[in-house]
Amino acid sequence: MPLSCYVTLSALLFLIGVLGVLVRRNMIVIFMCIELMLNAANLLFVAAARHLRQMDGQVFVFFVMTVAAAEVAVGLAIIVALFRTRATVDVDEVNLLKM
Amino acid sequence: MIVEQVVFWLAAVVVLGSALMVVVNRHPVYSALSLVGTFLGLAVLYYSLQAPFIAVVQVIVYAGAIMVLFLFVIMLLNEDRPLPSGQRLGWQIPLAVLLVLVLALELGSQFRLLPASARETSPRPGPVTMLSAPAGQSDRAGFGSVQAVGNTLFTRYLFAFEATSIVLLVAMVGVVALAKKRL
Repeated sequence: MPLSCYVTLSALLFLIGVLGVLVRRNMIVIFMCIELMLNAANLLFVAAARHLRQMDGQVFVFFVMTVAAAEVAVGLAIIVALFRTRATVDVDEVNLLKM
Repeated sequence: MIVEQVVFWLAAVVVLGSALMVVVNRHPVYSALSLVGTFLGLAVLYYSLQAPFIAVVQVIVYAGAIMVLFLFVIMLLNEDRPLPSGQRLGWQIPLAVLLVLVLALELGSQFRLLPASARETSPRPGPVTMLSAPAGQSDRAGFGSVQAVGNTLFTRYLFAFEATSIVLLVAMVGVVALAKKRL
């Protein structure tokens, strides 16, 4: 399959992730859509690594996965702490800084 | 070649369909399960892209650890229900779709910057692709194998590897600090 097919698939996956972040109000689902965007970038890395016959793309995917795991842990801890104080996972309710 | 094409289209349909289900579902648990489907479809794509190690790591780390974390938190907060429609997102959803279409056009306009080699499907000389390797002939040190990833990871990217371990340590300390009863 040509690289352009994988580029298109990665772009579509990324766009679905962006749509999810904009449209959903549940904090956890927004976080899941961020993971979709990260996976779109991973797919592009792996496809480019095969296209260029270099291992660097796959090694970078390894790093992206590690950082994504750390980010998910910290992000979910923040969501839990936020839930403890505001008792909601609705981002529209978390508006204490609003004028 | 034909096997690779069939696998690509099947996996692409699974990946995009599951991603749409993540965005559309009202219950967070259904979104989480659809996300697992996306990750498994991506793992199949990675395997067909001669990245077997990355495919397995994808299943282990994403589907096996990150999604478990998500499901734990959804169950812990007992929030597996649609959010009450207190403040309806009336005009914001079409605006979001419009903005995503604008982003799609922006991405598409850069398509012509791809090199011409990105559109050809010429079979590449080199190690046999994973899907068509004859049985019994293992491509042990070939492209995408564990040895190849390890070689590159521990020579060219050794510093990044060590820094990643510090990132994980910081994340662990941060999570423990955030989970305390009294911050």
